[in-house]
Amino acid sequence: MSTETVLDVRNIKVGFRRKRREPIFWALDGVSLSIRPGRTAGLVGESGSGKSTLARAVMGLQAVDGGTIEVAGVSITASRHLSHKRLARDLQAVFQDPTGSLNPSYTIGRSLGEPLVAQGVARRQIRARVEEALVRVGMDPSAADRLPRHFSGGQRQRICIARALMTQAQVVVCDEAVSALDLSVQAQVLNLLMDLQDESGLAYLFISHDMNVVRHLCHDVTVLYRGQVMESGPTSQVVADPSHPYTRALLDAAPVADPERQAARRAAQVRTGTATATGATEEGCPFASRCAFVQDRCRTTRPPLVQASNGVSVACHRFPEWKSEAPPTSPAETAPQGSSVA
Amino acid sequence: MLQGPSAEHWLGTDTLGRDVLSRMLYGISPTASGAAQALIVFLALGIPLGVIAGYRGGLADQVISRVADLALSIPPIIIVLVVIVVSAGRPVAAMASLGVLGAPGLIRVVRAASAAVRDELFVTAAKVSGVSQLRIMRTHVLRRIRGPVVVQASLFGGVALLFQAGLSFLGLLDPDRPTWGAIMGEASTVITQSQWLLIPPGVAITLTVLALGFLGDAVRDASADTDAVATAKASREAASPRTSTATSAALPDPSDYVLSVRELHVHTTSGVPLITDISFDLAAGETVGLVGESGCGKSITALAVLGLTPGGIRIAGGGVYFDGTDLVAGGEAAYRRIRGSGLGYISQDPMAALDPVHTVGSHLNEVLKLRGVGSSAARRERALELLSQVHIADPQRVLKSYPHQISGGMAQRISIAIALAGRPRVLVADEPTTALDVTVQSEILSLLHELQETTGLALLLITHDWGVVADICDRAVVMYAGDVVEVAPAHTVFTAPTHPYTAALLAADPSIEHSGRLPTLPGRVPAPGLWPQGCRFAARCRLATEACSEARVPLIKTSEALSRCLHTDLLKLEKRA
Repeated sequence: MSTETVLDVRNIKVGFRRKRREPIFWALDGVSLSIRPGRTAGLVGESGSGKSTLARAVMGLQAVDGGTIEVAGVSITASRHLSHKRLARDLQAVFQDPTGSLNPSYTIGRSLGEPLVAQGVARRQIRARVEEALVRVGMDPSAADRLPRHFSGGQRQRICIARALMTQAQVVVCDEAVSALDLSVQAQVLNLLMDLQDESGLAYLFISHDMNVVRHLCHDVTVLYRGQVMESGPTSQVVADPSHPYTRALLDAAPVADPERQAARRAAQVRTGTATATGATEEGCPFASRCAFVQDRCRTTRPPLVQASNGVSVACHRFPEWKSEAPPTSPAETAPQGSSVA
Repeated sequence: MLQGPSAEHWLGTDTLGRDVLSRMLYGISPTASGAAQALIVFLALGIPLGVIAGYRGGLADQVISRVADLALSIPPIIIVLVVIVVSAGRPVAAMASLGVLGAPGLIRVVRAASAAVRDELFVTAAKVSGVSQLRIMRTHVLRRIRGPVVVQASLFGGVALLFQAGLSFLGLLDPDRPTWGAIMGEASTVITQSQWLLIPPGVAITLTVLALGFLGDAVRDASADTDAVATAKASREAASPRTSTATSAALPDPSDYVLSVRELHVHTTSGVPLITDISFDLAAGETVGLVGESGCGKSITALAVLGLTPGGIRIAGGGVYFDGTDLVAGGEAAYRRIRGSGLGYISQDPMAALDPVHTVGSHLNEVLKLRGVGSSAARRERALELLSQVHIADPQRVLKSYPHQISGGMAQRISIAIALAGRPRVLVADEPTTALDVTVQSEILSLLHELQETTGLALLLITHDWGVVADICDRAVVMYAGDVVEVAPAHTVFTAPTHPYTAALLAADPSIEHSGRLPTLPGRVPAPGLWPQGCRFAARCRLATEACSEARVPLIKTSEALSRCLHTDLLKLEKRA
């Protein structure tokens, strides 16, 4: 309830059941996170981790089976009938596929004006605000009169970001917003997101599978696995010294663009078992079947999410002793000579 | 009476000596209004109900679809006849009931189209933007279903016209009004005296129905997306003069390598160059990464190497040498000998490469049969061996599995196993891990690495991920706008890139520690056909000078790399500073 947070997700659960009488599959099982203005919270995990379900729940597109979500102090889970119009004032979204998120037969101006039309803003004012938003994302105002097909993927993503700015929302959900973009375009869009945050104190919920991007952009990060939080805390802490074996595995698996360091990382990589498609026993830790440090209790009791240190929370029975069994993380980034970027 | 066409009566006269032409013209109004009445009811019922069923789904969909299905099973003519009797032959009632009975067909079409729109990302985006459901239906959905509705409406308009004509012909609808059907009905009574009278209404009805059909198609085509037109135009603009091949003398002899690509040019059939002058080599046991952003020609290069260029694209020059033999010169026959046994291929989407109705075992069986493994027992044994070679834990069970029963990572392992079945010497892998989770990617990359060490396989890896290059590649071939811009050993490409594009692309990679803003590259890759005369990167390059744009830059040899840049020394200086 604190006024400090613009997005507050408390212990939410979302369950699916394919058939009656089948046990419920929990896509999200007691996930919490919160974001303050001007901050970026990363949500990482692999496919099936529930990160997209969380995004949908926050956008009000997915009913929850437990827990609460508050956007700018207003609960979106309290009533069965959510007002998207009300929610859109505070929360907007940018999706992975910029091509699919723009109606191909609408001009850019019409697409961008849509959130304002929905809020009942007068037509006269809309045009000016559309142009203003286009300028803010580094586009020419004349783009308003053109169709999406006249723009490249990166430009379309800028346009989608502009649309998210239209209602002066405080929270923007970025659902894999840079994953489909090429490296150089991705860098431009990441910079744009950071600039907009600096200018107006936007808060981002940044959902991604890419640890490198999350490390670059996010202040805090929450690591999801099979619908449960494995670890969360300040990104610098989590990345530098992961407290959960799964986080370590994720970090180890993402290759870095440096052959020497990468070779060292390969050597120090914590092996994980192959994910089994069948749902593990719901009793224990969801990662137990793949974990290199697994013990009997991991399979029988679910580890609670506890405060570790430096604001990091971790759900692991074997924290912190697993770290002493793991190979040391890749030898301290020996700064290669002349690696400074000009 | 019953005169043929004359100067006075262009279409002759009827049984009472009335001018047929004026009766035909007068008949347009009741005929068309009858059809229009049916059409209005048809649209007024069909569109809203179809949109609600398709977009809302759930209970509304169940109810509407069931009722529509039921209505479709009722023969319309019987109901219309009943309505005519009950309403004492009022044409409006008859035509309106035809509209009601036709509506279920439209409901089905509209429902399917709306359901497809419902799942579009832009509809989700609109919802999150706060747009109300009603408004989404009115704007996004209606706009998208225009095409099918126009077609259905024109078809139904034709049906209604025929129906109306038929009922009038039978004299069931207000026989005093001269509709085209009624004129025809009158003509049929005197068919023994004059056949001519049948022709004007017959021709008028036929032409109108046909015209409605064409009109529908034309309106739909005109309102459809004009993307196709746009690309056609772009490619016409693109007819740039063919640049002379800047042959580099430094290229080694193809017979020293297992795979050599030499001055390969690939064009569209309309002559737009897609890749130009591509040369690189692959030694046995080596991994070469083909790196670049989308639109740079990586995948086209891979497909051209395999001789699998898609329709509309052809190899316009150069050669692909496998073990010293030119496959391009040898044509399809040469490729067929080499594919599978010499060249293997794995794609980005392993699931798409597997046929969902066949088990993993039957995929492998088929490939092995093709490779001439005789008995089915031998094939099974080899299949199991292949699966364990790609580290599948339970090969017996996996052989019996269908593609939908396995995970993405497992599917990629299987497609590698299939590629390995012919014991190829070169494996072309097009973004083999892009669609996979990082932990799975890591496993697949170490598998590829291991296979190389055990079998001496050469790997041509297409990727946009510098991390993957750092992880398993020996050399990198960097492509930009259809050109090879740099060829360098993996250990130097990261520390001392010799092309500004390579340097910029590396700098933009967030896996390299940065604080704050990422260095970016202004602009974007020019589309094929819009390439400038000189260096294709010049417009985005910090180091570009006039010389860069004057003529095509050849691949220049530096100490360890080949670079298509005139300013490699500047880049080196900058790096040192």
